[in-house]
Amino acid sequence: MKERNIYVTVSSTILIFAGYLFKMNGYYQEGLLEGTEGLQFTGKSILILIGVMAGANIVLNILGTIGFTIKDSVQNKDCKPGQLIEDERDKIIELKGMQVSYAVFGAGLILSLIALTMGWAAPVVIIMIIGSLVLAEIIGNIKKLFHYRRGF
Amino acid sequence: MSKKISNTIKTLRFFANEMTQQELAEKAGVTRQTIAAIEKDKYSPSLELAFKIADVFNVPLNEVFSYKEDE
Repeated sequence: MKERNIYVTVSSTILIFAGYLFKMNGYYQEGLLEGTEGLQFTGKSILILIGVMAGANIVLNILGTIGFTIKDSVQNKDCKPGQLIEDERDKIIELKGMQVSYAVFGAGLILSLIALTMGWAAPVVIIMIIGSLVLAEIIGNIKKLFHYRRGF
Repeated sequence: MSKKISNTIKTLRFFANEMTQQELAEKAGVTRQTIAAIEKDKYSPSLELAFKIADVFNVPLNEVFSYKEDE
């Protein structure tokens, strides 16, 4: 069940962020991300992105859990309520995922700051930082998936 | 030299009326996947969980888990 939820989270995160990047690239080409107004616009777009991502993840995980539980009960697979609980192994896997996420985000942040010192536009650097956050989330989830598939 | 914690959970389950992994998981308060990972020596449980598992079979801890150093 947790593996499936990770697949759902990773897929939705990739899709939403790809859409966001596509949209922001269009605005960048049109010159809408320049100056103070460009920064304000980037800030607003990121706030909306965070809201959409959080909302989509919550809704998709709830729908996924319901859907997978119904599917398993129809197929007579063992889907006991115990599968929904989080035990010590889940917590350790969660921590291992977070450890990788922090490392990826740290590297992304440093790269973004290097880009800023090289004269890249501030809105682009902000989007890079958010990008590192999203990448960190994805890689952390992949690490968790690796442990779940291997058993630990 | 590697250190390894091995266990006899599979044997103990068999002698406990062929208890399933799911039944043991429910009694120990963890998921079936965690019991499977412990049985395959992929995951070393916390001391608390180790005692709970031993308690389910009503045997001392060292009858369930053993520690050895491999060359």
